[in-house]
Amino acid sequence: MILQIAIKEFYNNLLTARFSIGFIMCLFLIPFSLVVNLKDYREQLKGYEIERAKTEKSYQVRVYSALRPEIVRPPEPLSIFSKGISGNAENKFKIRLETWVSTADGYETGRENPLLMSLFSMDFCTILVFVLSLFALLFTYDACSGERESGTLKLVLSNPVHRWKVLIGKLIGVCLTLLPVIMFCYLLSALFVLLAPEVSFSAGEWLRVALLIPVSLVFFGLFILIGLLFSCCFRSSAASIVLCLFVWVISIFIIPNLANSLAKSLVATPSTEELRAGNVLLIREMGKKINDYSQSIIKQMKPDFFYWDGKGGEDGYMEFAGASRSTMDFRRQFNEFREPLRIEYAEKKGVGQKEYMDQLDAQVKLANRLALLSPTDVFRQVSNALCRTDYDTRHLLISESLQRYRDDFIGYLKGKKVFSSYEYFTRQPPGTFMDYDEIVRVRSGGQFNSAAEFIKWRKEHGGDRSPLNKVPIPGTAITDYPLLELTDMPTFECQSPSIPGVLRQSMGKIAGLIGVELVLFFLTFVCFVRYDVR
Amino acid sequence: MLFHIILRELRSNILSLRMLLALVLALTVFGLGTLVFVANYKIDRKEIEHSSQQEIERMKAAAAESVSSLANWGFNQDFGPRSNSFISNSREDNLPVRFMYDSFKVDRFFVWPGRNPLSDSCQPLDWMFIVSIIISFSVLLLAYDTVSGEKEARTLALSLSNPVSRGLVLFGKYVSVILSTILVLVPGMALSLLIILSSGRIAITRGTLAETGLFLAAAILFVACITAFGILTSVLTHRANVSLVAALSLWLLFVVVVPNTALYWAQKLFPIERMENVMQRINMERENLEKGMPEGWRKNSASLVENYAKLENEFLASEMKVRRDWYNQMFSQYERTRLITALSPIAIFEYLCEAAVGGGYLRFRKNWLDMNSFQLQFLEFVKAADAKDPESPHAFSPNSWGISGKPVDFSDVLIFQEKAPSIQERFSHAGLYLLILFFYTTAAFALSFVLFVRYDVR
Repeated sequence: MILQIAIKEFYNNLLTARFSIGFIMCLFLIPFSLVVNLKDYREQLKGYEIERAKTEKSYQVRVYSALRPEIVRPPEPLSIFSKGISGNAENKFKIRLETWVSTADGYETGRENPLLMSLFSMDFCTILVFVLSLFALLFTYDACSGERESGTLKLVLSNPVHRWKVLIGKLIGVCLTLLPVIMFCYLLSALFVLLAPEVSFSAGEWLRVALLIPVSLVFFGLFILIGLLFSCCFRSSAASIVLCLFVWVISIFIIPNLANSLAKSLVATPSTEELRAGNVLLIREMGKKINDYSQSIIKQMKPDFFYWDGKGGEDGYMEFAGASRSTMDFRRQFNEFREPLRIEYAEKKGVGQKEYMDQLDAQVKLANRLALLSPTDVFRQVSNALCRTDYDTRHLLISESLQRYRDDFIGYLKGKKVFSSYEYFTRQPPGTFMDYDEIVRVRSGGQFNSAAEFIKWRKEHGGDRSPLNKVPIPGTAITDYPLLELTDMPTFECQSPSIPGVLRQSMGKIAGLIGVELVLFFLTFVCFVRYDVR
Repeated sequence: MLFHIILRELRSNILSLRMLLALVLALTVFGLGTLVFVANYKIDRKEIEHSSQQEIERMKAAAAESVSSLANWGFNQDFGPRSNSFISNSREDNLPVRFMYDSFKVDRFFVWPGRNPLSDSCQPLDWMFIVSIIISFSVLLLAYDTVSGEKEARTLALSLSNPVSRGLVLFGKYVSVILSTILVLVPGMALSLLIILSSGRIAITRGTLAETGLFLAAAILFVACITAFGILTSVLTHRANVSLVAALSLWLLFVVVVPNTALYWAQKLFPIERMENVMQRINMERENLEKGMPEGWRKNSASLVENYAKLENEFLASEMKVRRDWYNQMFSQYERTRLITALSPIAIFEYLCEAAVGGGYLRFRKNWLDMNSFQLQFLEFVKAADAKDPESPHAFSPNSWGISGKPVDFSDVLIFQEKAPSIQERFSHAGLYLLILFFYTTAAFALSFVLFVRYDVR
């Protein structure tokens, strides 16, 4: 009997204008959203390739002080399905001794035009949620009230059939109508992904997409029950549709936006400017220590600061060749003190940064928790988690993977004792270092016998260094030496939440949805049993 | 007669459930949105004042050091939250609000760095949001069954049997929907203003009131447009539930589909040069300029400072030419994309609000132009300060040591002041969009008129 009713409902639904309009909407919007997202993904991939090429160059170094690994994360292919926060955070990181890992590094957003940040784009899950939840409501809002208005409900119930059977039959009928549409949308999207040459999903990724299906079924079930409940609560279908639609607007537009802005005003993030000011103080303190130390060893070692070929850059990069022995010795001793100190201060700066990050986390967590009031947002959070574009994945990347890699990298440098070695800043073998006097004698071809003579001559000739170009000394240009072989460098491994982990985390949310559904079903049942069919 | 029809329709609207729900929802969101705005505004304001204060301190330090430092240090100019952004935030959370400049150039703009990168981009619940989502939705719910619903209830045939023209009936219905929407909108706005007044943190000036008036005008035009579409869906079919589906599809198209495809159109139809290319071009120009210098100029100490300054100025000019060109590409990409999104009246309404409050992209563009002319004045000022110093080599260029090393009195230093867009600027920004909105409204209404005249009331 139930089956009969269900099949009748199914046919009825199939023949309505709303079914054809809704189906055409899906047919038009789903491919469109996929095309849009594939295009965006392709753009991001282009940017990623360029960045990765640059990153590979960053490992072609001659000295350890130039070695600062750069990490570029490839764009997430699953973001085609659910974008999450993958669009608004940068995906390039540089491991430095001086700074603790954080997102505050640079402005790499993957989009060339910063103005485009203000344009929104939708993903597959958003479209699915918008169209199909509306669809679910439109099929159910008049299930009961509409039949009462047209007078058929009386006829149906005059048959020897229990009311609950009619209700369940209607429910199954609507589910039967929606199920093929949902499956059709997923199959269509899978087809698009399969046909797109630049995207190839692994088995695990397909599994994640497949897991989206049961989650979306649970989600749409909720909207079906909301529609059914209102339909059984009201005598006129006009009233029930109006209520359904208001619930829909509140759930999709109002609650998520309100939750975000409310969280912002409830959990104030410390200002970035204060953070910067705190860092400036620490940097000053460190600078003073470094300066004091260098003064003291300059007094002690009396280096002559004769440089020949050299280069320098950020985060302690320096590379020399052909400098005098005392200069090289000074540099070595200076680095031995300075680099560990910089690492120590990075930790100190990290404390403030960690606090800042924790506040950002707290804000997002609160926003997510507030947004749980809306079933749409529950679905969004679960689908983002499945598609690795949610906040947890990001958190794991920043505070676990990148941090561990930074520690590994520093451990690697320390293990090789590079801070106290000459290789940190020069590849010239220490045996070939020369004194200033000797360098001047050889280079000038005997024009000067000592450094003092040359310095005096140079002063008289306006700082001219050209006599030193007379006789070249081999091995005094930085390019004379080969690149470092970095076979034993630690490699970066990105952790992302595993599928069982995601499921365990999302279990509560899904269980909540199912719980609400049970309550709604019970209420619908009560209302329907007491429904006045006249 | 028209008055009669309007009054009757209005009465039935006011007594309907949807009107009540719309009113409750709109009032709640107006209230909550404004409360959240007041709290967030305080936080944002504090942050921006902090950072502006620091920039002033840096400027003071530069002025105390030397003319050269003042000329060469880069400064940030931040454009903080507007006090009228409770009317419309105009996506300023996602638009660049920080410009970097020194006396030679304004060369970069950034989105506010204090934004939480972990949170989803959300729309603040400002008036514009409420009107473009809740009100437009309520309008469609009020309008979708004005004709098809009456036909189903069989009252349409009765009304039309009276000696009254069909056009007048349709117009009466049209006006009454707009009027009932205004009855929802105005109390909400009043509530919101009341909350702001009682919070005491934000002063409501005459300018704000004028902007409120402009917003109300834009909202009424927008509501008129959406109502015309709603009535169109109603006369399109003979059954109310089909009109409802049509109205909702139209709404989804306007609210979700068109605005959300903007990024796609931008990338697909108006691609711009990649940053790497631009940088490469800048570097190539640099190399060429360096080659063009006379042989051995670096060793000629007599004219070194002049030559160096000349080269640096040439570098600057060539780089700024490339950069300006690139920025213009960005602006035109963005503007053209906006024109495409003008397919949706909701996007148009957003741009109208932007003009009404003088925010969003209008503000960005104005600030960008003002900032560029300010930089020229700033350059003149620094040059004048340099000219006063007889010891300076007067070789004025970026990164040079040819500028005076004497300190400057900070009280003379020019500081940028943001100016709100004038009325003319606002109207010229809104002009095209207003025209498109008028076109949509008249087209939709004319079409529904034609269809209604031929409507079978049986």
